[in-house]
Amino acid sequence: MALTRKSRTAMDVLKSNIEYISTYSKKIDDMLNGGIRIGVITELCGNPGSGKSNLCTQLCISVQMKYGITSNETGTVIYIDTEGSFVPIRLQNMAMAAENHYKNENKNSINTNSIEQLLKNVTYFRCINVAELIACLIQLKQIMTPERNVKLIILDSLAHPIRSIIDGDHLTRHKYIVRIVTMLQKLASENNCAVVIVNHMIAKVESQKNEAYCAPALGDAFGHMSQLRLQLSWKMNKREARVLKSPHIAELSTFFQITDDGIRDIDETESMDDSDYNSASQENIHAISNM
Amino acid sequence: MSFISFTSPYFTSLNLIDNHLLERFERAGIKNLIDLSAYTSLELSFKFRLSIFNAEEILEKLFSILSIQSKNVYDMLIETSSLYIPTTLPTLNHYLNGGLRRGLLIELCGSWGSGKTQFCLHLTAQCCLMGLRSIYIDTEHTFSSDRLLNMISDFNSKQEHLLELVRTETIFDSDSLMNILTQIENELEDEFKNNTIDQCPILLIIDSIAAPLRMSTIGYNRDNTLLLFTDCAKRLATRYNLLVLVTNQVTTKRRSNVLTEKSDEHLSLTTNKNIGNDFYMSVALGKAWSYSVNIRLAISYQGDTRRQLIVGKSIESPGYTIPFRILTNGLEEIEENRNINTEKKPLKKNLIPQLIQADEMHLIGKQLRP
Repeated sequence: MALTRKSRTAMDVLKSNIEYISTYSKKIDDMLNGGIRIGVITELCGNPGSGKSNLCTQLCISVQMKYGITSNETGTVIYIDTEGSFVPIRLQNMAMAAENHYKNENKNSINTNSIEQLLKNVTYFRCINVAELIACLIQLKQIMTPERNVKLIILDSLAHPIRSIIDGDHLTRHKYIVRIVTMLQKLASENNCAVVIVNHMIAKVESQKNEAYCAPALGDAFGHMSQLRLQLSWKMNKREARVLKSPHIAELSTFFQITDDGIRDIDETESMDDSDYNSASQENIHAISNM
Repeated sequence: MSFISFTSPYFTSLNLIDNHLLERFERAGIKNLIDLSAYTSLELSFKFRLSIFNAEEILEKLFSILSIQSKNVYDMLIETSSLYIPTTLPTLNHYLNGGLRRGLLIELCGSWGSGKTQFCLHLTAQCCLMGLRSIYIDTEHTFSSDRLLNMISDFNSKQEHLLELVRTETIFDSDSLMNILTQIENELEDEFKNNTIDQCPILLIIDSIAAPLRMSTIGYNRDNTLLLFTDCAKRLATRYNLLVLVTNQVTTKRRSNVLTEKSDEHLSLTTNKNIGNDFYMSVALGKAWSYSVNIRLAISYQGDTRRQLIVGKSIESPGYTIPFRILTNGLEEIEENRNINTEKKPLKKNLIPQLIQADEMHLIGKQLRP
């Protein structure tokens, strides 16, 4: 059996159009060179209440708007919820705000049918434990047809069902994580859609110095599996998005806010001190830097 | 469903795949679908000498019993848009888009004497006034029918018959708590099947969850029990569309500055950024629990009958504080001169002092008179 595969040069890869999904905050999009990348896995981590589910809901809207995705080919969304934190009304508010924005730009009237369509394009699955999650992913293989044109899969969150496994040591959990993430990687590259996985933060103790710090949950093995690791947190009364790991972009951070309309930039009415901007946050003490 | 053993009569009666193969699974330690989740088709084909194609088929067939109903969000919106329990605090209703929504797990924390039980009673009263049933699980022996009656009644009419809509249970430890929850789940399942959905309760209050856990479990067991409880509570909330309200206590913790993300202005008790060992009040039950709740509310004590309700974590609303009073006939919001406009705008600088962070809420306890 001959498996022929066309190899590509680096120039081919550079020229191939990489699509991004905008987060509706220009600063975050600039930091990420366009937004959330299609075809790879992005990890979103943060403490409770930092804005992860809000950002996911915002992405559901921007992938369907003409200017929210770089190739201008919009797509539909699959939202897999394991925590029950998805609120339909929030999606509706963000949809109306996005439509309003374009109405003002293009001087067209709002189509209420289009809001309905925006909501109908988001398919929602509720999974309670790992087995249901895997059953759901198996189901996804069948429902992701070209007509459906799924461009975004959100898993909110992966940490919750894994951490809820009662009788399992970290080896078993590792097996589950690998199984789920491999299935998602296949879905992402075969169907050319973006996958966003939401993670929790746990407190770790550095045994040499007896210092505690916050790190993303699910272990070091999971840390290797995502292409982009984005951490959302609170800094000096503002919300911050920070890149923890990426092969393409530098480890920058920027501020944003969450309004009733969704994720937006903060109006820069006053300048910030350089020292605040550049100082490393206290909890991101990477283990590597201590060796 | 995912925990049913492969060799149980129910499973074998489904006749999905060869029973002999199910027995081989069982002998190898794969007892139910959760255990099977860890295996890929390649691993199964090696372990049980099947072809990869067969292994994939078997996996698909077995997992098909867990097939999940997908819905699109528009239909969800239509279904859930009218299912709120309005509170007596108009600002809270406004910012939560109607009130406390059913199908969620809501946590209410506060130090002793702050008014958690009063909030629970007022919510039960609202439920009674809508003519719907509710369940109140009391673990601290603080349920008061008199207060409930006061909150239900107007000054003119007494509505004692509404008290029959509330079912109360008094529990002392975590085992009986799980027992009563399983019992409730079974009863709800029966009611669902008999299609008497309008008779079903819409509100489940557990006041408090910290008390039985603190009393009867220590260390690791407590995490397990909490996980079981969270699973059960979320199932009840989503499947039977209940509003599950859980009250929590506060504990003192020692602060290490590395773990918190706040800056100096909010630390009311510390002076220097570099001092590591000061004590602060924090919500009990740990961080993993904080992820499980959908909405976190806190009550802070302001002086005799005045309180502040703090909305900590909620996907729909930013962190607001709402002042209110506890009176004989319930909770009443205090209309102070407020800078907040009623129309929703993006948060400006002058509103930021009221914005709080979800994972560190400073809850002020009662000040004892000297």
